Amino acid sequence: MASAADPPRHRRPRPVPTPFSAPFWDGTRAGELRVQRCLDCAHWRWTPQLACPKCWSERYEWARTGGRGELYSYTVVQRSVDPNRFEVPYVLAVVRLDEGPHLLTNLVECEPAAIEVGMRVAVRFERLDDDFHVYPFAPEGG
Amino acid sequence: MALREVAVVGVATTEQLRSSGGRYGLSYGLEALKGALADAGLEKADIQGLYPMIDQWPQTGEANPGNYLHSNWPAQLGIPIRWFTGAVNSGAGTGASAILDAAAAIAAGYIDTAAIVLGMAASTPADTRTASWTSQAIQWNEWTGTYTAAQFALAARRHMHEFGTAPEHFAQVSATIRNYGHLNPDAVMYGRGPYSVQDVLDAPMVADPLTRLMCAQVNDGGAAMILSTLERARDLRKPVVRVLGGADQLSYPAYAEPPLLEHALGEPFSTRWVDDGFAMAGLTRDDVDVVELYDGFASWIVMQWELLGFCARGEGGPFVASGVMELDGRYPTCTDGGCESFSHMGAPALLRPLEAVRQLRVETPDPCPGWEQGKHSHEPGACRQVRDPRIALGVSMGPPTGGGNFVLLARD
Ligand SMILES: [Zn+2]
Repeated sequence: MASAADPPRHRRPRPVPTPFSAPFWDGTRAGELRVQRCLDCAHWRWTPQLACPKCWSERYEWARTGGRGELYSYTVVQRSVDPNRFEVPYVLAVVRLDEGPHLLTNLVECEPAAIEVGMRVAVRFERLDDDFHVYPFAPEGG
Repeated sequence: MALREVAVVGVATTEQLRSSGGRYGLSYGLEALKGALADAGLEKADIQGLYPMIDQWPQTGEANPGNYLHSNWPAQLGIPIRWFTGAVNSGAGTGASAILDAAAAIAAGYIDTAAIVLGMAASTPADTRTASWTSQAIQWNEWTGTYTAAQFALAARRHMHEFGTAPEHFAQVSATIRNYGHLNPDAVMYGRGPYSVQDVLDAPMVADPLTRLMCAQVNDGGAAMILSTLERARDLRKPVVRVLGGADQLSYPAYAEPPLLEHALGEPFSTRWVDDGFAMAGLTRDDVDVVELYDGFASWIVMQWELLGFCARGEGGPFVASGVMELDGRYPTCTDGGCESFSHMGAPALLRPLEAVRQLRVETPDPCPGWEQGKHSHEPGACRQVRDPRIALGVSMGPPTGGGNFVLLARD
């Protein structure tokens, strides 16, 4: 049996980047999960913002994260947002990166019964096409 | 500049129904606005301030708030608008935030009378399976297959993890609220109950732990409310409901940020806004007789009790399980059937405070033979009118990403 969120089952919408967000998607294509980090106060922030919410500095870098963290929460979705695109069940998740920020993502390669809040997870880039890779997570070391 | 006191002088709702077959939300809104003016005994020329929310202008297909010029409203209504704001506040522009903003404008003397108008035909588009506008075509989110119920489920799961909250707690919320709607002939889900906790748990799973009966449906309909000075209200035809105060706090954007439980419960910002709202009204939680929370999802009700300080953080599950929301409980809640059973037209922010007004006026249709004369049995399971309520709390906070708003209303 395929695992709960086996990626090829979905026809995911392609992201629509802006010049502001292009470095993030360049990163996923290169196998890096990048998050903005303030160059003045070192605060990591997600979702992306022009200025740091801590110090209002607009100086930032798209810093490479380790792509690892813990499962903050999850839900096994039984009613698809769009049955033409997402096959149920799939697992929507929030992951807390080791660097601090929380990301909305999918948990893949994990049976629903084996999911536990707090479990260690790592990013598994999923290729949509030549331009875009998205960033679901899977159990660490799995 | 001396502040004036403010009252709700007119309310109306249209029929609330599934899939009305192409009628514009604006049409529902206009019908409700006429109804609220008639309820107040006022005319359209009396309206000076406007707080509208419609899902589509026929001319452009845009929603309002949206890109279409707000100044189309005078062209549509045939009256000038002297105060047009509030749409940027939380509560989708027509909820408790709009009431507070209108009250501020009236109190300060900028205008004498304001109208809040809501008209949505959200269930008319072909695919009614989920509220598509909350999937937010945001590049960080859309690829994940996220949508409203799933976002609430994420916060709910975290609440269960941190505090031991159980699906039975959420089911209790929905059974209680849906059983009010079962008694409300105006409710979309009128006569569908009664529901047990087990019925709610046994419903098809949407996004665990939320079953279909823990989620609001989507339907069409309109609602409107007219506010004016207390002085003028006392000359009008309906029982006077005063606006005593409230509060509003914007936090993170709806469905764009990851739905963190901490944000739902008010972090990282201060929750002092809640205490401030009660303080300005000169009230405490103990003074409240009836509560209209925003029950888009059952789990969110558990969190609202905590956010609003009616119980300690993490205690929302046992709090609702104690029966506090029942008609004979301490805080009868969502007495019209709420978003889950009465109506959820996508962003029905006005409906919660509007039911608070009807409770204070004792204008609640239910099986009691004398309801039109305000005579009720107050028998749980047979009646949905709270006995002699004086203070009502109306809440219009929708998304799971923080912030909120509420208004405290009082019978004069
Ligand atoms: Zn900074």
